[in-house]
Amino acid sequence: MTRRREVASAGVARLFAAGLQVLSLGAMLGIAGCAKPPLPGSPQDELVARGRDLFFKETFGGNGRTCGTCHPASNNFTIDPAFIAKLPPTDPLFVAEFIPALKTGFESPRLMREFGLIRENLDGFDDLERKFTMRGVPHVLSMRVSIDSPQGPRTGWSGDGAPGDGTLRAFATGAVIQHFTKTLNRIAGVDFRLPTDAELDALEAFQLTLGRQIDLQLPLPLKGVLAKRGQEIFLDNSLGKCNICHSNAGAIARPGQANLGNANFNTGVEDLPDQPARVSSELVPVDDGLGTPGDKTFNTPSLVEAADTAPFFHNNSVATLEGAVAFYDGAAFNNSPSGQFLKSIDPNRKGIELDATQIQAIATFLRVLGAIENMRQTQTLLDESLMQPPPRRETPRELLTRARLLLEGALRVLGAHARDGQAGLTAQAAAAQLHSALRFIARAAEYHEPPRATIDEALVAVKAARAELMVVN
Amino acid sequence: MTHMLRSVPTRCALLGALLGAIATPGMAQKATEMFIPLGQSTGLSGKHTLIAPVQSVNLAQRTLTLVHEGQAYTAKLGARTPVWLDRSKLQQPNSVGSLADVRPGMAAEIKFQKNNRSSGDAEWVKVQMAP
Repeated sequence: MTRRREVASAGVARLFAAGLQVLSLGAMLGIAGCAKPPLPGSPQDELVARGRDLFFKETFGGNGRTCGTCHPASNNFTIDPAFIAKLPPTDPLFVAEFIPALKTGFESPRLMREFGLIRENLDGFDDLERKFTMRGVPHVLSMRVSIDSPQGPRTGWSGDGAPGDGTLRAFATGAVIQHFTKTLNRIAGVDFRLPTDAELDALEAFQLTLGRQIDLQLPLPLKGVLAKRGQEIFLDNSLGKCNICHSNAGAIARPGQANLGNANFNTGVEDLPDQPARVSSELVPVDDGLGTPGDKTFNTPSLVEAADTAPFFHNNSVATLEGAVAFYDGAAFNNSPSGQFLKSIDPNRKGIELDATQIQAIATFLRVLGAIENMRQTQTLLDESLMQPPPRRETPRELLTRARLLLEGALRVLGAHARDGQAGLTAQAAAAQLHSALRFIARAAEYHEPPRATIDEALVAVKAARAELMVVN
Repeated sequence: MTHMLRSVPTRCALLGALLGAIATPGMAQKATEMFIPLGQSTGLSGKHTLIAPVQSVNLAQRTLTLVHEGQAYTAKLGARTPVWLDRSKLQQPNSVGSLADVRPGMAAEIKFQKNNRSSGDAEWVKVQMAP
């Protein structure tokens, strides 16, 4: 029996190895990340532009919040305590602190400021004082490739974030009711207005343009030894096992040859001891996940964007990338239904067992992956800044601002990696190129129409930075 | 080798089936649905829901019958099927109600299980409390 298992495991390993070689070739040929945006000025492009305006400016007659209040472009479309600390006290995020009607039962201001947590009433609004969940704000990047499942789209942390038909299009309706209301009566037409069909179309179209438009294809031909080793562990279904539920570091579960799409799992995050918000004196009710009553499952997020979108998990319970990876080595995960399942299918009945060095390697891999993706998106934005008419009615300066934010994000995550001694040298070299690119972008942004030569210089530097991290043809 | 090849798909299929078994189906949340006025539920109203006047209510059998274009549609309500009272036209807060609050002649919207849009088990019911 044991022998048979070993033979079968070897077969699986060979199958994966063969698949990985093919995928690696795909990555080498640049198949990954070739998004095709709508033509500037086309009806779809105009719809996206309208959606962008609504996302950042429309309050829907409510308390002053917009979608961008919790999903600001300047912070990777999410919020965290450091970002929140820089906001003025009059920012609409803090409506519970200055609108009397929202003073109690709407938010938990201390938990918001200290842990970046937002109050949700997914199990009903009948007991606002005690019945609620405290959740982090998920970024809205790469939803094109991260929310579809055979059972329908999964939105929000528990996968059931939207009312109506449960789609991303319907999500805005629920968000307006939950977060935009002027009073706790939540009367449509009085406390807010519901988005129109046309507005929902536009908001959905805009959100689907954010981030990656297709999944990456791992393994990438990485250069750094630590990142390379992290990728190996990530893809090793007998060691890291990460790729089973985060296929290609995305949000799609592909066990074996099956494709579950974006799935919900009970990974035991709620069972983590000493969660920061829970050790405060504030009330943090148990979050039961999907459904009412909940089944304790939560939705799988994409990992490509993880390095620059901390804190982690639905309750912001882990602040660092290493901590998030280490979670899967701990008792909370390995005793959970998902952890037990992984153990049951392991030939040696082992759960996820990683040492500190392996955790560090996976974190480094995720940082490099995130930085590479930011650079790829930057290249697209730099190209777009020269287009006439500009795409999505964005001005060249707006496009260059987005490019700058992406590169600053890449620098942030590479900065953490660059401290990894010898292994961080590639990150340091890439960072030097990115600083150069940022100087060219700043220079180009001084002009109403950016000079092509300056944009080209920036592009050269970004490509050089990318080439420091991976083999690029 | 033949044995190995036979084992690989079997294991992969088993893996998929097992993981599929612990992954749960997608669904829409119903908490904020309560606050959406009758006929305005995104992606559902007029497409997957039935909107019509109430003809009769049977509390003992927990059924609700609507008449739409001359045809009667009967919905069966389970013990947990929510009934929401839509007071938005009165500019008052919507609330959770019960079948006992429903009267013949009221405008109602029924979301049937599996988007059936015909007789069967109801997933939720909204009734409009008119001025």
